[in-house]
Amino acid sequence: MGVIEVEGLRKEYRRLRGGRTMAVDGLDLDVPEGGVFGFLGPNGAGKTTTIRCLLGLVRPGGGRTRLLGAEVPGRLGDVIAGVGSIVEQPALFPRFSGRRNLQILARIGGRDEAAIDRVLERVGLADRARDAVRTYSLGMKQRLGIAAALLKDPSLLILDEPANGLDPAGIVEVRELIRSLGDEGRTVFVSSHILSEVEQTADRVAIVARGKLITQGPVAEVLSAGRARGMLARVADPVAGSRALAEAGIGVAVDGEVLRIDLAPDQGERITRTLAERGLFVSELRPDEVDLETVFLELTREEGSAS
Amino acid sequence: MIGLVRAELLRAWSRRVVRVLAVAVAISIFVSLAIATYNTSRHPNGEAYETARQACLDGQLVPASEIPRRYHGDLAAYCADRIRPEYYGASRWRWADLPDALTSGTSSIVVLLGVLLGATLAGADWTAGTMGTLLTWEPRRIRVHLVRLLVTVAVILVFTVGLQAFLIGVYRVAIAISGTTAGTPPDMGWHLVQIVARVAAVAAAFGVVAHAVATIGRSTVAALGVLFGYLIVIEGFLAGLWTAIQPRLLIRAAEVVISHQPLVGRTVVTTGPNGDAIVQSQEVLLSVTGAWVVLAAWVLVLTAAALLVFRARDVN
Repeated sequence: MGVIEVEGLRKEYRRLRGGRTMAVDGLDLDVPEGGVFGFLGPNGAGKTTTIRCLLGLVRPGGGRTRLLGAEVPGRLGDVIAGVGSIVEQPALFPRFSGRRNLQILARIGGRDEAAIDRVLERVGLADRARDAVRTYSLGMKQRLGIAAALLKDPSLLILDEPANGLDPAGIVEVRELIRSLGDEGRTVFVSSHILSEVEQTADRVAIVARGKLITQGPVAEVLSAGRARGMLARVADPVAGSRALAEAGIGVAVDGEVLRIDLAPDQGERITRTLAERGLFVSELRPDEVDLETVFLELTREEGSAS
Repeated sequence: MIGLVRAELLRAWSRRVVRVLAVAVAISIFVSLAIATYNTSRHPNGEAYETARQACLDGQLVPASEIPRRYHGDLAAYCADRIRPEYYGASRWRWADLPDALTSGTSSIVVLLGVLLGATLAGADWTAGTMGTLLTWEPRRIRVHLVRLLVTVAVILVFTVGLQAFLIGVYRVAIAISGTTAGTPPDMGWHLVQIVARVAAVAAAFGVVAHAVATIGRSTVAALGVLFGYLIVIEGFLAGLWTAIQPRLLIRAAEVVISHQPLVGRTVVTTGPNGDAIVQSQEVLLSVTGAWVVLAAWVLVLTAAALLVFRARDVN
């Protein structure tokens, strides 16, 4: 059983001047327990709406949602103590101190002052805890939001774009924090449109576009799903090289000055031998590695053109 | 549930507006009474009054022959009417006047504070965008709304009772400095308690109405605008245009509850056998009990509406 289970989730917004926008269109999602789960999609893909539906902030138009085994929104109250979350920018009272904001939340959750101290320490805000939130930088507010989410000591963390507004050092800090939370056995569900952020932290990813799931699974699987792995070779005459490989029955395409070859990386010897037999010598040969960004762009582009 | 109540109380207490209002009103009560006390005590001019009264009795003001007929030649009665102590700065604070001061003077300000508190305690979360955060800690919206309402009512009651108690206390000091307890009815204390309780209850009712409007409109400012617009413009217009609607109006009900006097309409006058006009009865438009019912109806209807809207609408 997943900690987050979504089946056929739909959410439609009515526009002020008539018409409707389908924010989430039959989304399916299954997030297993433990580790970091990346929820990827371009802006407007329906990530935040999905998270709002999960947290009971938005009423879905259809579908079924379960969080930690409880139906949402009906039984959400039974499990909310185990769910920490940030939705978009952390919303806090600007005139209250960081500590006072956390104290208010801690009272709801029955947490003590020691828990507040712990989370402030963890996000590096212990020194500024008594200052008004309005004096905080965007990154500090984001960290305070994470502290608020951690205050429950949750088994599931739902973080919507947690690195938004952070400087490079802050992004690294948040990334390390997320990774460490995942390593502690918690489930961290992170939505983001910053692919590198997810690629470096997530164990599994789901990619959404236009409110629909494109693919989901372990990061390595999703990467391989985007395109068949192959090899890139550089020779002096790519056209001649392409012809030589094709005659040898090897799938190949010319991509600028390189050959994109449909052979697994362990077949490098066959490539070099075939080319060398035709007097073509390889100056560079490397696996055609696909990063998440490429997969993401290809998959979301395909989805866009299909619709 | 208790945690949510504690959190809401802490949040309410942490609101600067609550503390600023409390201090500002307390200071204004203190300063205004201090100024008035000073003004009434700096001219202890019983001598001037006595001189004037004696001069009147000696016929220096008006010769005895020119006294108006209604005094039937009684110079002493004439002088008592024309030469009053208050004309000579000898007017003094009267402890017995306090009930009137509370019901007619300060009650509207206290009720207004109730409206401000109700609107701000409901609207602040929407303005700051923290309602989403709150609901990620307690997603049961009916519970959230009722607890917030309860805390709002508690804050308004504490606030308004406290302010009125402060006013009474400062007034008592003013009486001790330059006032009199002459003419004080024997049950004055109980009378004051009832007035304070009625004013606080009306302030709380108006606060709940403001809370409901702020919840529906998701804004403190919008709630205050709508509410004052309704109370001042629409109710004023309706009351002037259509007498029959008056018993259903919020302000009329509040006036009746606070004054503990029914709202009366036309005076029915008949002519007696000698042609004299006889007042037979006054049409009661709204009784005191009826006013409580009207207030309760407003509170219940608007609370239910706010609850339904809060439960159904998305929080973005």
